[in-house]
Amino acid sequence: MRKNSVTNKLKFYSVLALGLILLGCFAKFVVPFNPDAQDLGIALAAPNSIHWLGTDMYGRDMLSRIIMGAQTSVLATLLLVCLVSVLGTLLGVFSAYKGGAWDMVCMRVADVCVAFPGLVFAIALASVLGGGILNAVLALTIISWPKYARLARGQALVQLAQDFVKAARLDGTTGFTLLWRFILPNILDTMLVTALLDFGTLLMEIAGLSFLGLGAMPPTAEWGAMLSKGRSMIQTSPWTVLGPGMAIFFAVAIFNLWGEAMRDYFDPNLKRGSKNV
Amino acid sequence: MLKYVRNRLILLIPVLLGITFLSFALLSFTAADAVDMKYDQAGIEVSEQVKTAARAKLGLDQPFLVQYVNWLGKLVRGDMGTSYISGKNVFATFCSKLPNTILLAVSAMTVTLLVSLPLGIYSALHKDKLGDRLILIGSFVGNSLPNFFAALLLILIVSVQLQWLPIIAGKGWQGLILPTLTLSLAMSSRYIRQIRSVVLTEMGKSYVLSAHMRGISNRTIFYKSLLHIVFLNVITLMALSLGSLLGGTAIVETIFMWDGVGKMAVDAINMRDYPIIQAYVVWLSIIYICMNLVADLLYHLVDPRIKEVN
Repeated sequence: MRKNSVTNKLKFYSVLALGLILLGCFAKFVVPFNPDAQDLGIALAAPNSIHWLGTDMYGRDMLSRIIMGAQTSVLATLLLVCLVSVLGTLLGVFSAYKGGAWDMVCMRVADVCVAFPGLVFAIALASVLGGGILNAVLALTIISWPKYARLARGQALVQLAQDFVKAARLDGTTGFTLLWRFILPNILDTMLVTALLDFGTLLMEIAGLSFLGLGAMPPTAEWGAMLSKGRSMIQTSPWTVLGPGMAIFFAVAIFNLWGEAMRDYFDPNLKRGSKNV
Repeated sequence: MLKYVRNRLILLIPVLLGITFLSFALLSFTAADAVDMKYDQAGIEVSEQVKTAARAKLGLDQPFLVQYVNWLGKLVRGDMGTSYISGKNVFATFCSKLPNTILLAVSAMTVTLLVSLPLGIYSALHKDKLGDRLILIGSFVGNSLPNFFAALLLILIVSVQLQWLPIIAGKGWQGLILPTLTLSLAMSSRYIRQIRSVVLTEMGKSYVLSAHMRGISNRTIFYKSLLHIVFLNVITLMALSLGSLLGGTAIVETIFMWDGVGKMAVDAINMRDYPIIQAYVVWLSIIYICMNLVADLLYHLVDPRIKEVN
Protein backbone atom coordinates (compact mmCIF):
# COMPACT_ATOMS: atom_id res chain seq x y z
CA MET A 1 0.00 0.00 0.00
CA ARG A 2 2.68 2.47 1.10
CA LYS A 3 4.90 1.39 -1.76
CA ASN A 4 2.03 2.05 -4.12
CA SER A 5 1.43 5.61 -2.93
CA VAL A 6 5.16 6.36 -3.23
CA THR A 7 5.16 5.07 -6.81
CA ASN A 8 2.05 7.05 -7.69
CA LYS A 9 3.55 10.20 -6.25
CA LEU A 10 6.69 9.67 -8.30
CA LYS A 11 4.61 9.12 -11.46
CA PHE A 12 2.58 12.26 -10.81
CA TYR A 13 5.56 14.56 -10.26
CA SER A 14 7.52 12.92 -13.08
CA VAL A 15 4.71 13.79 -15.47
CA LEU A 16 4.66 17.39 -14.18
CA ALA A 17 8.43 17.81 -14.35
CA LEU A 18 8.84 16.14 -17.73
CA GLY A 19 5.89 18.22 -18.94
CA LEU A 20 7.78 21.34 -17.92
CA ILE A 21 10.89 20.16 -19.75
CA LEU A 22 8.82 19.35 -22.86
CA LEU A 23 7.20 22.79 -22.62
CA GLY A 24 10.72 24.19 -22.69
CA CYS A 25 11.58 22.11 -25.77
CA PHE A 26 8.48 23.04 -27.75
CA ALA A 27 7.90 26.54 -26.35
CA LYS A 28 8.03 28.01 -29.84
CA PHE A 29 4.91 26.11 -30.90
CA VAL A 30 2.85 26.79 -27.77
CA VAL A 31 3.13 30.55 -27.40
CA PRO A 32 -0.09 32.46 -28.17
CA PHE A 33 1.83 35.53 -29.46
CA ASN A 34 5.28 36.15 -30.86
CA PRO A 35 7.27 36.68 -27.63
CA ASP A 36 9.59 39.24 -29.28
CA ALA A 37 6.95 41.26 -31.15
CA GLN A 38 6.85 44.80 -29.77
CA ASP A 39 3.72 46.94 -29.79
CA LEU A 40 4.35 50.15 -27.90
CA GLY A 41 0.67 51.08 -28.21
CA ILE A 42 -0.20 48.46 -25.59
CA ALA A 43 2.95 48.78 -23.47
CA LEU A 44 2.48 47.84 -19.78
CA ALA A 45 -1.13 46.78 -20.28
CA ALA A 46 -2.63 45.13 -17.20
CA PRO A 47 -3.73 41.49 -17.53
CA ASN A 48 -6.80 41.35 -19.78
CA SER A 49 -8.76 38.92 -21.93
CA ILE A 50 -6.30 39.12 -24.84
CA HIS A 51 -3.03 39.30 -22.91
CA TRP A 52 -3.78 37.09 -19.92
CA LEU A 53 -0.71 38.13 -17.96
CA GLY A 54 -0.46 41.66 -19.34
CA THR A 55 2.35 43.13 -21.43
CA ASP A 56 5.82 44.45 -20.63
CA MET A 57 7.37 47.87 -21.24
CA TYR A 58 7.67 47.15 -24.99
CA GLY A 59 4.15 45.80 -25.29
CA ARG A 60 5.34 42.19 -25.57
CA ASP A 61 2.90 39.54 -24.34
CA MET A 62 4.01 38.39 -20.84
CA LEU A 63 2.48 34.91 -21.09
CA SER A 64 4.32 34.20 -24.34
CA ARG A 65 7.57 35.47 -22.87
CA ILE A 66 7.13 33.35 -19.75
CA ILE A 67 6.55 30.25 -21.89
CA MET A 68 9.60 31.10 -24.00
CA GLY A 69 11.45 31.73 -20.75
CA ALA A 70 10.83 28.09 -19.83
CA GLN A 71 13.01 27.20 -22.79
CA THR A 72 15.96 29.24 -21.55
CA SER A 73 15.58 28.63 -17.81
CA VAL A 74 14.56 24.97 -17.73
CA LEU A 75 16.74 23.73 -20.58
CA ALA A 76 19.78 25.62 -19.27
CA THR A 77 19.21 24.06 -15.85
CA LEU A 78 18.84 20.63 -17.43
CA LEU A 79 22.16 21.11 -19.21
CA LEU A 80 23.78 22.29 -15.98
CA VAL A 81 22.44 19.36 -13.95
CA CYS A 82 23.63 16.86 -16.58
CA LEU A 83 27.06 18.50 -16.78
CA VAL A 84 27.77 18.59 -13.05
CA SER A 85 26.35 15.17 -12.24
CA VAL A 86 28.06 13.34 -15.11
CA LEU A 87 31.36 15.18 -14.76
CA GLY A 88 31.34 14.93 -10.97
CA THR A 89 30.40 11.24 -10.93
CA LEU A 90 33.05 10.26 -13.47
CA LEU A 91 35.79 12.23 -11.73
CA GLY A 92 34.77 10.92 -8.30
CA VAL A 93 34.57 7.27 -9.34
CA PHE A 94 37.84 7.50 -11.22
CA SER A 95 39.53 9.14 -8.22
CA ALA A 96 38.34 6.37 -5.91
CA TYR A 97 39.59 3.72 -8.33
CA LYS A 98 42.94 5.30 -9.18
CA GLY A 99 43.81 6.64 -5.75
CA GLY A 100 47.29 8.08 -5.27
CA ALA A 101 48.40 11.32 -6.86
CA TRP A 102 45.38 11.64 -9.18
CA ASP A 103 42.96 11.28 -6.29
CA MET A 104 44.94 13.76 -4.21
CA VAL A 105 45.09 16.41 -6.95
CA CYS A 106 41.46 15.95 -7.92
CA MET A 107 40.19 16.32 -4.37
CA ARG A 108 42.39 19.36 -3.63
CA VAL A 109 41.04 21.05 -6.76
CA ALA A 110 37.56 20.21 -5.51
CA ASP A 111 38.44 21.77 -2.12
CA VAL A 112 39.44 24.99 -3.85
CA CYS A 113 36.31 25.10 -6.02
CA VAL A 114 34.00 24.83 -3.00
CA ALA A 115 36.05 27.22 -0.88
CA PHE A 116 34.29 30.13 -2.59
CA PRO A 117 31.10 31.05 -0.74
CA GLY A 118 27.87 30.50 -2.67
CA LEU A 119 27.56 32.36 -5.92
CA VAL A 120 30.52 34.66 -5.27
CA PHE A 121 32.92 32.92 -7.64
CA ALA A 122 30.21 32.26 -10.22
CA ILE A 123 29.35 35.97 -10.20
CA ALA A 124 32.99 36.92 -10.80
CA LEU A 125 33.49 34.23 -13.43
CA ALA A 126 30.30 35.07 -15.30
CA SER A 127 31.22 38.76 -15.25
CA VAL A 128 34.63 37.94 -16.70
CA LEU A 129 33.17 35.66 -19.36
CA GLY A 130 30.74 38.44 -20.15
CA GLY A 131 27.14 37.29 -19.81
CA GLY A 132 25.31 34.74 -21.92
CA ILE A 133 23.34 31.82 -20.55
CA LEU A 134 26.00 29.26 -21.52
CA ASN A 135 28.64 31.20 -19.63
CA ALA A 136 26.38 31.23 -16.58
CA VAL A 137 26.05 27.44 -16.91
CA LEU A 138 29.83 27.12 -17.18
CA ALA A 139 30.39 29.31 -14.11
CA LEU A 140 27.91 27.28 -12.06
CA THR A 141 29.43 23.99 -13.28
CA ILE A 142 32.79 25.00 -11.89
CA ILE A 143 31.44 25.63 -8.40
CA SER A 144 28.96 22.72 -8.36
CA TRP A 145 30.88 19.65 -9.59
CA PRO A 146 32.87 18.99 -6.38
CA LYS A 147 29.75 18.03 -4.44
CA TYR A 148 29.09 15.21 -6.92
CA ALA A 149 32.74 14.20 -7.18
CA ARG A 150 33.03 13.87 -3.39
CA LEU A 151 29.77 11.95 -3.09
CA ALA A 152 30.59 9.60 -5.98
CA ARG A 153 34.10 9.04 -4.62
CA GLY A 154 32.76 8.08 -1.20
CA GLN A 155 30.14 5.77 -2.68
CA ALA A 156 32.65 4.18 -5.03
CA LEU A 157 35.11 3.55 -2.19
CA VAL A 158 32.38 1.65 -0.34
CA GLN A 159 31.63 -0.42 -3.45
CA LEU A 160 35.31 -1.10 -4.15
CA ALA A 161 35.63 -2.69 -0.69
CA GLN A 162 32.75 -5.10 -1.38
CA ASP A 163 33.46 -8.80 -1.89
CA PHE A 164 31.86 -9.00 -5.31
CA VAL A 165 34.14 -6.26 -6.57
CA LYS A 166 37.17 -7.98 -5.07
CA ALA A 167 36.07 -11.23 -6.75
CA ALA A 168 35.70 -9.43 -10.07
CA ARG A 169 39.17 -7.97 -9.66
CA LEU A 170 40.64 -11.38 -8.86
CA ASP A 171 38.96 -12.53 -12.02
CA GLY A 172 41.04 -10.03 -13.93
CA THR A 173 38.41 -7.33 -14.45
CA THR A 174 40.07 -3.93 -14.39
CA GLY A 175 39.74 -0.35 -15.47
CA PHE A 176 36.78 0.78 -17.47
CA THR A 177 34.95 -2.57 -17.37
CA LEU A 178 35.16 -2.78 -13.59
CA LEU A 179 33.87 0.76 -13.10
CA TRP A 180 31.18 0.50 -15.78
CA ARG A 181 29.79 -2.92 -14.85
CA PHE A 182 30.30 -3.17 -11.10
CA ILE A 183 30.67 0.31 -9.59
CA LEU A 184 28.54 2.73 -11.61
CA PRO A 185 25.30 0.70 -11.58
CA ASN A 186 25.45 0.54 -7.79
CA ILE A 187 25.90 4.25 -7.17
CA LEU A 188 23.63 5.48 -9.95
CA ASP A 189 20.47 5.83 -7.87
CA THR A 190 22.22 7.95 -5.23
CA MET A 191 23.67 10.22 -7.89
CA LEU A 192 20.34 10.50 -9.70
CA VAL A 193 18.42 11.42 -6.54
CA THR A 194 21.05 14.02 -5.59
CA ALA A 195 20.93 15.53 -9.07
CA LEU A 196 17.14 15.77 -9.04
CA LEU A 197 17.08 17.27 -5.54
CA ASP A 198 19.51 19.96 -6.77
CA PHE A 199 17.50 20.75 -9.90
CA GLY A 200 15.36 23.44 -8.25
CA THR A 201 18.29 25.10 -6.47
CA LEU A 202 20.35 25.23 -9.67
CA LEU A 203 17.38 26.70 -11.55
CA MET A 204 17.23 29.47 -8.93
CA GLU A 205 20.96 30.06 -9.24
CA ILE A 206 20.84 30.41 -13.04
CA ALA A 207 17.88 32.76 -12.73
CA GLY A 208 19.80 34.67 -10.03
CA LEU A 209 22.78 35.21 -12.32
CA SER A 210 20.42 36.35 -15.08
CA PHE A 211 18.74 38.68 -12.59
CA LEU A 212 22.13 40.31 -12.01
CA GLY A 213 22.56 40.63 -15.78
CA LEU A 214 25.14 37.83 -15.92
CA GLY A 215 23.00 35.19 -17.62
CA ALA A 216 20.67 35.42 -20.59
CA MET A 217 21.17 38.54 -22.70
CA PRO A 218 18.27 40.62 -24.05
CA PRO A 219 16.09 40.10 -26.00
CA THR A 220 16.17 36.42 -24.92
CA ALA A 221 13.19 35.70 -22.69
CA GLU A 222 14.46 34.37 -19.36
CA TRP A 223 12.65 34.43 -16.02
CA GLY A 224 15.42 35.99 -13.94
CA ALA A 225 16.15 38.65 -16.54
CA MET A 226 12.43 39.45 -16.88
CA LEU A 227 12.14 39.91 -13.12
CA SER A 228 15.08 42.25 -13.15
CA LYS A 229 13.47 44.32 -15.94
CA GLY A 230 10.17 44.46 -14.10
CA ARG A 231 11.79 45.54 -10.84
CA SER A 232 11.75 49.26 -11.61
CA MET A 233 8.06 49.12 -12.53
CA ILE A 234 6.95 47.20 -9.46
CA GLN A 235 4.82 50.07 -8.12
CA THR A 236 2.89 50.75 -11.30
CA SER A 237 2.88 47.37 -13.11
CA PRO A 238 3.36 44.58 -10.56
CA TRP A 239 2.39 41.90 -13.14
CA THR A 240 5.78 42.33 -14.83
CA VAL A 241 7.31 40.93 -11.63
CA LEU A 242 4.62 38.51 -10.46
CA GLY A 243 4.40 36.52 -13.73
CA PRO A 244 8.03 35.47 -14.14
CA GLY A 245 8.45 35.21 -10.35
CA MET A 246 5.59 32.75 -10.01
CA ALA A 247 6.96 30.83 -13.01
CA ILE A 248 10.27 30.34 -11.20
CA PHE A 249 8.48 29.46 -7.97
CA PHE A 250 6.28 26.79 -9.58
CA ALA A 251 9.14 25.34 -11.59
CA VAL A 252 11.35 25.09 -8.51
CA ALA A 253 8.51 23.63 -6.45
CA ILE A 254 7.75 20.97 -9.09
CA PHE A 255 11.39 19.96 -9.40
CA ASN A 256 11.83 19.87 -5.61
CA LEU A 257 8.76 17.64 -5.22
CA TRP A 258 10.01 15.45 -8.08
CA GLY A 259 13.38 15.04 -6.36
CA GLU A 260 11.77 14.22 -3.03
CA ALA A 261 9.43 11.68 -4.66
CA MET A 262 12.40 10.07 -6.39
CA ARG A 263 14.29 9.90 -3.08
CA ASP A 264 11.34 8.29 -1.31
CA TYR A 265 11.02 5.80 -4.16
CA PHE A 266 14.65 4.68 -4.01
CA ASP A 267 15.02 4.88 -0.26
CA PRO A 268 11.68 4.37 1.48
CA ASN A 269 13.29 4.09 4.91
CA LEU A 270 14.61 7.60 4.75
CA LYS A 271 12.68 10.14 6.77
CA ARG A 272 11.27 13.14 4.94
CA GLY A 273 13.68 16.00 4.75
CA SER A 274 16.58 14.36 6.54
CA LYS A 275 18.82 14.53 3.48
CA ASN A 276 17.86 18.10 2.73
CA VAL A 277 20.65 20.17 4.21
CA MET B 1 43.02 19.47 20.35
CA LEU B 2 46.08 21.61 19.59
CA LYS B 3 47.29 18.98 17.18
CA TYR B 4 43.91 19.02 15.46
CA VAL B 5 44.01 22.81 15.12
CA ARG B 6 47.52 22.62 13.69
CA ASN B 7 46.53 20.00 11.13
CA ARG B 8 43.50 22.00 10.07
CA LEU B 9 45.65 25.09 9.61
CA ILE B 10 48.13 23.14 7.46
CA LEU B 11 45.27 21.84 5.30
CA LEU B 12 44.16 25.42 4.84
CA ILE B 13 47.33 26.49 3.04
CA PRO B 14 46.76 24.75 -0.33
CA VAL B 15 43.14 25.93 -0.36
CA LEU B 16 44.14 29.53 0.31
CA LEU B 17 46.83 29.36 -2.38
CA GLY B 18 44.28 27.82 -4.73
CA ILE B 19 41.60 30.45 -4.29
CA THR B 20 44.03 33.36 -4.51
CA PHE B 21 45.62 31.85 -7.62
CA LEU B 22 42.24 31.28 -9.28
CA SER B 23 41.06 34.79 -8.46
CA PHE B 24 44.29 36.26 -9.78
CA ALA B 25 44.29 34.16 -12.95
CA LEU B 26 40.61 34.76 -13.63
CA LEU B 27 40.80 38.51 -13.61
CA SER B 28 44.27 38.96 -15.05
CA PHE B 29 43.32 36.92 -18.13
CA THR B 30 40.27 38.99 -18.83
CA ALA B 31 41.26 42.36 -17.73
CA ALA B 32 43.86 41.12 -20.25
CA ASP B 33 45.68 44.33 -20.05
CA ALA B 34 45.08 46.73 -17.25
CA VAL B 35 47.02 49.41 -19.10
CA ASP B 36 44.79 49.29 -22.18
CA MET B 37 41.76 49.32 -19.91
CA LYS B 38 42.96 52.36 -17.99
CA TYR B 39 43.71 54.43 -21.06
CA ASP B 40 40.53 53.30 -22.81
CA GLN B 41 38.45 54.30 -19.84
CA ALA B 42 40.21 57.61 -19.55
CA GLY B 43 39.54 58.07 -23.27
CA ILE B 44 43.17 58.85 -24.06
CA GLU B 45 45.00 57.65 -27.20
CA VAL B 46 48.64 56.94 -26.40
CA SER B 47 51.58 55.46 -28.33
CA GLU B 48 52.82 51.90 -27.82
CA GLN B 49 55.97 53.16 -26.09
CA VAL B 50 53.98 54.86 -23.38
CA LYS B 51 51.95 51.69 -22.89
CA THR B 52 55.05 49.49 -22.74
CA ALA B 53 56.59 51.77 -20.17
CA ALA B 54 53.40 51.74 -18.13
CA ARG B 55 53.29 47.93 -18.31
CA ALA B 56 56.87 47.66 -17.12
CA LYS B 57 56.07 49.99 -14.25
CA LEU B 58 53.14 47.79 -13.21
CA GLY B 59 55.21 44.62 -13.64
CA LEU B 60 52.89 43.30 -16.36
CA ASP B 61 55.87 42.35 -18.58
CA GLN B 62 57.01 39.74 -16.07
CA PRO B 63 56.16 36.01 -16.21
CA PHE B 64 52.72 35.08 -14.94
CA LEU B 65 53.89 33.29 -11.80
CA VAL B 66 56.15 36.17 -10.80
CA GLN B 67 53.20 38.51 -11.17
CA TYR B 68 51.12 36.21 -9.00
CA VAL B 69 53.72 36.10 -6.23
CA ASN B 70 54.08 39.88 -6.33
CA TRP B 71 50.32 40.27 -6.22
CA LEU B 72 50.10 37.83 -3.29
CA GLY B 73 52.75 39.80 -1.41
CA LYS B 74 50.74 42.98 -1.86
CA LEU B 75 47.52 41.19 -0.91
CA VAL B 76 49.00 40.17 2.44
CA ARG B 77 49.93 43.79 3.09
CA GLY B 78 46.39 44.90 2.23
CA ASP B 79 47.38 46.54 -1.05
CA MET B 80 45.03 45.52 -3.86
CA GLY B 81 45.54 48.47 -6.15
CA THR B 82 43.10 51.23 -6.92
CA SER B 83 39.63 51.14 -8.43
CA TYR B 84 39.48 51.85 -12.19
CA ILE B 85 36.46 54.03 -11.64
CA SER B 86 36.81 55.95 -8.40
CA GLY B 87 40.60 55.75 -8.19
CA LYS B 88 40.32 54.97 -4.48
CA ASN B 89 42.23 52.25 -2.65
CA VAL B 90 40.39 48.95 -3.25
CA PHE B 91 41.12 47.35 0.09
CA ALA B 92 40.00 50.46 1.99
CA THR B 93 36.78 50.55 -0.04
CA PHE B 94 36.13 46.88 0.72
CA CYS B 95 36.78 47.40 4.45
CA SER B 96 34.46 50.40 4.59
CA LYS B 97 31.55 48.36 3.16
CA LEU B 98 32.20 45.12 5.02
CA PRO B 99 30.57 46.15 8.35
CA ASN B 100 27.24 46.69 6.56
CA THR B 101 27.33 43.20 5.07
CA ILE B 102 28.30 41.66 8.41
CA LEU B 103 25.46 43.52 10.12
CA LEU B 104 23.01 42.18 7.53
CA ALA B 105 24.36 38.61 7.76
CA VAL B 106 24.30 38.58 11.56
CA SER B 107 20.80 39.96 11.75
CA ALA B 108 19.57 37.44 9.15
CA MET B 109 21.19 34.60 11.09
CA THR B 110 19.66 35.82 14.37
CA VAL B 111 16.16 36.06 12.93
CA THR B 112 16.58 32.62 11.33
CA LEU B 113 17.50 31.01 14.64
CA LEU B 114 14.71 32.81 16.52
CA VAL B 115 12.15 31.58 13.99
CA SER B 116 13.37 28.11 13.11
CA LEU B 117 14.30 26.71 16.53
CA PRO B 118 10.85 27.03 18.10
CA LEU B 119 8.96 26.20 14.89
CA GLY B 120 11.15 23.20 14.02
CA ILE B 121 10.88 21.73 17.51
CA TYR B 122 7.14 22.44 17.73
CA SER B 123 6.66 20.79 14.36
CA ALA B 124 8.48 17.63 15.43
CA LEU B 125 6.70 17.37 18.78
CA HIS B 126 3.31 17.78 17.08
CA LYS B 127 4.02 15.56 14.09
CA ASP B 128 1.18 15.24 11.57
CA LYS B 129 -1.06 17.68 13.48
CA LEU B 130 -2.42 20.77 11.76
CA GLY B 131 0.34 23.07 13.04
CA ASP B 132 3.04 20.72 11.76
CA ARG B 133 1.41 20.52 8.34
CA LEU B 134 1.13 24.30 8.05
CA ILE B 135 4.75 24.80 9.13
CA LEU B 136 5.92 22.18 6.60
CA ILE B 137 3.96 23.76 3.77
CA GLY B 138 5.28 27.19 4.73
CA SER B 139 8.86 25.94 4.81
CA PHE B 140 8.42 24.24 1.44
CA VAL B 141 7.18 27.48 -0.09
CA GLY B 142 10.03 29.44 1.50
CA ASN B 143 12.49 26.92 0.14
CA SER B 144 11.18 27.22 -3.42
CA LEU B 145 11.19 31.03 -3.55
CA PRO B 146 14.40 32.44 -5.00
CA ASN B 147 15.69 35.27 -2.81
CA PHE B 148 15.35 37.93 -5.52
CA PHE B 149 11.67 37.11 -6.01
CA ALA B 150 11.08 36.94 -2.25
CA ALA B 151 12.67 40.39 -1.98
CA LEU B 152 10.41 41.83 -4.67
CA LEU B 153 7.34 40.19 -3.12
CA LEU B 154 8.20 41.75 0.25
CA ILE B 155 8.61 45.16 -1.39
CA LEU B 156 5.29 44.69 -3.17
CA ILE B 157 3.43 43.69 -0.01
CA VAL B 158 5.10 45.71 2.73
CA SER B 159 6.11 48.86 0.85
CA VAL B 160 3.69 49.17 -2.05
CA GLN B 161 0.44 47.69 -0.70
CA LEU B 162 0.65 48.24 3.05
CA GLN B 163 3.05 51.20 2.85
CA TRP B 164 4.61 50.29 6.20
CA LEU B 165 8.15 50.93 5.06
CA PRO B 166 9.64 53.09 2.32
CA ILE B 167 10.95 51.07 -0.68
CA ILE B 168 14.46 52.43 -0.25
CA ALA B 169 14.71 52.76 3.49
CA GLY B 170 18.35 53.79 3.68
CA LYS B 171 20.97 52.91 6.22
CA GLY B 172 19.06 52.82 9.47
CA TRP B 173 17.23 49.95 11.16
CA GLN B 174 14.27 50.48 8.83
CA GLY B 175 16.47 49.63 5.87
CA LEU B 176 17.63 46.48 7.60
CA ILE B 177 14.19 44.91 8.04
CA LEU B 178 13.30 43.79 4.50
CA PRO B 179 16.75 42.47 3.47
CA THR B 180 16.95 40.58 6.76
CA LEU B 181 13.52 39.03 6.20
CA THR B 182 14.44 38.08 2.62
CA LEU B 183 17.64 36.34 3.63
CA SER B 184 16.15 34.59 6.64
CA LEU B 185 13.10 33.31 4.75
CA ALA B 186 14.97 30.70 2.74
CA MET B 187 17.34 29.90 5.59
CA SER B 188 14.58 29.40 8.17
CA SER B 189 12.78 27.08 5.77
CA ARG B 190 15.81 24.83 5.51
CA TYR B 191 16.54 25.03 9.24
CA ILE B 192 12.98 24.16 10.23
CA ARG B 193 12.97 21.00 8.11
CA GLN B 194 16.39 19.97 9.38
CA ILE B 195 15.64 20.62 13.06
CA ARG B 196 12.32 18.79 12.73
CA SER B 197 13.91 15.73 11.21
CA VAL B 198 16.75 15.69 13.77
CA VAL B 199 14.29 15.76 16.66
CA LEU B 200 12.15 13.05 15.04
CA THR B 201 15.16 10.81 14.37
CA GLU B 202 16.41 11.18 17.93
CA MET B 203 12.98 10.53 19.43
CA GLY B 204 12.87 7.24 17.56
CA LYS B 205 16.09 6.05 19.19
CA SER B 206 16.13 3.46 21.93
CA TYR B 207 17.54 5.68 24.69
CA VAL B 208 14.51 7.92 24.41
CA LEU B 209 12.23 4.88 24.45
CA SER B 210 13.89 3.51 27.57
CA ALA B 211 13.65 6.90 29.28
CA HIS B 212 9.95 6.88 28.44
CA MET B 213 9.56 3.42 29.94
CA ARG B 214 11.19 4.56 33.14
CA GLY B 215 8.47 7.16 33.36
CA ILE B 216 10.57 10.24 32.62
CA SER B 217 8.43 13.03 31.25
CA ASN B 218 8.62 14.21 27.67
CA ARG B 219 9.68 17.62 28.83
CA THR B 220 12.65 16.30 30.82
CA ILE B 221 13.77 14.03 27.98
CA PHE B 222 13.58 16.97 25.65
CA TYR B 223 15.53 19.47 27.73
CA LYS B 224 18.08 16.99 29.11
CA SER B 225 18.87 15.01 25.94
CA LEU B 226 17.40 16.29 22.72
CA LEU B 227 18.22 19.97 22.95
CA HIS B 228 21.95 19.24 22.99
CA ILE B 229 21.70 17.28 19.74
CA VAL B 230 19.61 20.02 18.16
CA PHE B 231 22.25 22.63 19.01
CA LEU B 232 25.00 20.45 17.52
CA ASN B 233 23.05 20.25 14.29
CA VAL B 234 22.38 23.96 14.29
CA ILE B 235 26.12 24.65 14.39
CA THR B 236 26.62 22.44 11.34
CA LEU B 237 23.70 24.10 9.59
CA MET B 238 25.06 27.56 10.32
CA ALA B 239 28.43 26.62 8.86
CA LEU B 240 26.76 25.12 5.79
CA SER B 241 24.51 28.10 5.12
CA LEU B 242 27.27 30.65 5.63
CA GLY B 243 28.31 30.32 2.00
CA SER B 244 24.88 30.95 0.56
CA LEU B 245 24.38 33.76 3.09
CA LEU B 246 27.58 35.57 2.08
CA GLY B 247 26.93 34.95 -1.61
CA GLY B 248 23.21 35.71 -1.37
CA THR B 249 23.87 39.16 0.05
CA ALA B 250 25.04 40.25 -3.43
CA ILE B 251 21.54 40.00 -4.90
CA VAL B 252 19.65 41.17 -1.82
CA GLU B 253 21.93 44.16 -1.17
CA THR B 254 21.52 45.22 -4.80
CA ILE B 255 17.73 45.09 -4.65
CA PHE B 256 17.46 46.99 -1.37
CA MET B 257 20.34 49.38 -2.11
CA TRP B 258 22.06 48.21 1.08
CA ASP B 259 25.57 49.63 0.94
CA GLY B 260 27.57 46.44 1.57
CA VAL B 261 30.27 44.52 -0.29
CA GLY B 262 27.68 42.58 -2.35
CA LYS B 263 26.23 45.73 -3.88
CA MET B 264 29.76 47.04 -4.33
CA ALA B 265 30.63 43.92 -6.35
CA VAL B 266 27.53 44.06 -8.55
CA ASP B 267 28.12 47.76 -9.25
CA ALA B 268 31.75 46.95 -10.07
CA ILE B 269 30.65 44.20 -12.49
CA ASN B 270 28.41 46.62 -14.36
CA MET B 271 31.33 49.02 -14.69
CA ARG B 272 34.00 46.37 -15.37
CA ASP B 273 35.92 47.53 -12.30
CA TYR B 274 38.04 44.37 -12.02
CA PRO B 275 40.22 45.22 -8.98
CA ILE B 276 37.05 45.63 -6.89
CA ILE B 277 35.62 42.29 -8.09
CA GLN B 278 38.93 40.64 -7.28
CA ALA B 279 38.96 42.04 -3.74
CA TYR B 280 35.37 40.87 -3.27
CA VAL B 281 36.10 37.30 -4.37
CA VAL B 282 39.36 36.91 -2.48
CA TRP B 283 38.31 38.43 0.82
CA LEU B 284 34.85 36.92 1.03
CA SER B 285 36.39 33.50 0.36
CA ILE B 286 39.02 34.00 3.02
CA ILE B 287 36.37 35.10 5.52
CA TYR B 288 34.26 32.09 4.56
CA ILE B 289 37.12 29.63 5.01
CA CYS B 290 38.04 31.08 8.40
CA MET B 291 34.43 30.95 9.61
CA ASN B 292 34.21 27.34 8.47
CA LEU B 293 37.34 26.56 10.46
CA VAL B 294 35.84 28.20 13.53
CA ALA B 295 32.62 26.19 13.08
CA ASP B 296 34.63 22.98 12.81
CA LEU B 297 36.59 23.73 15.95
CA LEU B 298 33.42 24.70 17.77
CA TYR B 299 31.77 21.47 16.74
CA HIS B 300 34.85 19.66 17.93
CA LEU B 301 34.63 21.35 21.32
CA VAL B 302 30.93 20.73 21.79
CA ASP B 303 30.96 17.11 20.66
CA PRO B 304 33.84 15.17 22.19
CA ARG B 305 32.81 12.04 20.27
CA ILE B 306 34.39 13.34 17.08
CA LYS B 307 37.72 11.60 16.88
CA GLU B 308 40.79 13.60 16.10
CA VAL B 309 41.25 12.31 12.59
CA ASN B 310 43.33 13.80 9.78
